[in-house]
Amino acid sequence: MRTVAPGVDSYAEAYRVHRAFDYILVFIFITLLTGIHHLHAMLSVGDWTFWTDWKDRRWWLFVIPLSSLVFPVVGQYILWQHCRVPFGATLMVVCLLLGQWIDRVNNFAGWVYYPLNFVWPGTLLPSAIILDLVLMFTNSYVLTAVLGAWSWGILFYPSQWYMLGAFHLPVDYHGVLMSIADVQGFEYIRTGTPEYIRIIEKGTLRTFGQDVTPVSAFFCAFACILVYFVFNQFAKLVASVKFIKGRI
Amino acid sequence: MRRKITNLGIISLILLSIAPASLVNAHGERSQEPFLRMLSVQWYDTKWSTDKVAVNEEVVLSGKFHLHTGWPEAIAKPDVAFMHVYVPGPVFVRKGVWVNGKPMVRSASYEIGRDYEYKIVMKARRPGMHHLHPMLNIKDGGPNAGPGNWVEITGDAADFTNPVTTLTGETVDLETWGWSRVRNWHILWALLGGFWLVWWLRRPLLAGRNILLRQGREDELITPMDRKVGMGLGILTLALIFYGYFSTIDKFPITVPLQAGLMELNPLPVDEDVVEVELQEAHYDIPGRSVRMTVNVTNGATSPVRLGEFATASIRWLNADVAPDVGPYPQDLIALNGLEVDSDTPIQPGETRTLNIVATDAAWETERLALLIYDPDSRFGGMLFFYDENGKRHKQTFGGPLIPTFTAI
Repeated sequence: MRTVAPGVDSYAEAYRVHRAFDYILVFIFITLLTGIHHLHAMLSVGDWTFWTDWKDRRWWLFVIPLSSLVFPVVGQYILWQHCRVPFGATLMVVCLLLGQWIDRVNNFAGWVYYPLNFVWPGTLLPSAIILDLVLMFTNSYVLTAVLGAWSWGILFYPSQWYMLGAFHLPVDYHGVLMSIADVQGFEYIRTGTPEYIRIIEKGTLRTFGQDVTPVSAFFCAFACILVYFVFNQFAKLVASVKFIKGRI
Repeated sequence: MRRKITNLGIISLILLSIAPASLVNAHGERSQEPFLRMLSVQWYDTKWSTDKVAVNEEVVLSGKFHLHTGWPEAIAKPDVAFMHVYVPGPVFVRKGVWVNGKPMVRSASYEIGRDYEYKIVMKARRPGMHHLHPMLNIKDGGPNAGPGNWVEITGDAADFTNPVTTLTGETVDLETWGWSRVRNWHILWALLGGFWLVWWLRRPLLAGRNILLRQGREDELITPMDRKVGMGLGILTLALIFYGYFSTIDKFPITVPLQAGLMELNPLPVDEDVVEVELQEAHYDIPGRSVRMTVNVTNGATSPVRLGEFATASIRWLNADVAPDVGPYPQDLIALNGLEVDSDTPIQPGETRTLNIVATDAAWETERLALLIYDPDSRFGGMLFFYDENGKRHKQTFGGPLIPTFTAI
């Protein structure tokens, strides 16, 4: 006859087991998410994250927040819905940045010698912290979508300018006006990436003159609200044990 | 059985990891389809100013190219093309590109049937032996690499500097400019993000909280202290974003957006004084590694000319009696006595003569041009260079069908 005995003998031991379980899961999640989220960013918006001469005022500030919101929304839903832990977005962005910096230091600088000041990624941590805080304070996905996701998009560009501004100084380059980022792109050769491949400053947003940046940022912010709703519902659909009920 | 397979796998992995890896030479330019190399961009007069430089010294790559009139239908036209170089990444930095004397820092529209002259200045950055080619990238058509030559870079990579002077009067080193701001900003946010994670990770995280949540004890999971810390973090986050943005505007008040758009470019003038060439037939003798061509040549120049060179896909077949010194050109791309002409006496001005030309060399095989028979467009093309007695050169492109001969002639 088999008997079932408790695995722990005291609250202290139960606490230790619980924490060990947490750490194992956190380690697994961080390792997996670092790889997956980084892969997602590379495949969806790779060049915009890679090079300073792709970080423009129309596309970069639109595609990066939009694409990078997917994982934080899902992570936020899972952790908040099931554990009331308000750091899902921050965790996802930390994983993304970890993967990006491992990639930049080892691959871009270590293997093919690009200077790191040409290949740095933007950071979404400011946006992620705000997104998490909005959810924590409102405890509402709707308000988080409207206020948090909107902030996620709108705050991206100003939170990068501290890094990017230095690369937009003007240069007279053999009689052609260029920014320092353009000069980097021209001088540090990307053999398989000819200049015409850059998707920058293209589009029909021409009636706003020099104020195109806030227009793009606002558009991105509103699009982020939609992305938040869609992937929040997606997370609701898939982050469930209903698929394995009855099998365990 | 399973253990055997596992052991075999482990042994295989160990053997693979210690197996010697051969050096990779060049970058696969021979893999480009022959019809593309022979009928699109014809590179000629390619020169490398030196084959050995120290870090921080410059190499000038110069030459010309002709865009063949028989441009294949399968390749997009060079309406948007970028004058590029083929090197293994930023082992050099490109300090300037001029096409027909105009700085060409972005893409431009090129005209089929015309010639262009380029000069590319490269500054040595990483020591090693590097294969350096000119290259024209064609939008929707892909790259077309010219001839490559080995250039050795000596010295220490740590000595490399790349100064650029901005219009605001600062001289900055592109190797390091802006990096401290990027690094510090990322570290700052990593600390704040890390703090927020650790704030929650220091307490029971997943299972315990899930149990409490299911028990309806949600209020115990977010404490007033959590809210105070969150509020402080939020205010700090917004304050830092605004500080970063406005302090940067203050530090760099004059900035410009990224520059994009096509550049304007005119081709070289057309030579008035030309020798006309019309291909009658051409056969590729596969066993003999030679192409036999019959061409009608009309000398429209004012002086007698002789055929000195046939060039295609950057390979040069020379009539050593006529062609001048080729200079420091890659030896594997030269067939010094590879050109035979059945009627090698000077063609007089106004005369039309039929020439039977044989271009023989192993390069047809080694440069993979023999694979033309597998191409979707089995035509070939190239350039013929005629010289008068004073050494003046007349060039003409030609092309047409090429019929393979599979048995020895």
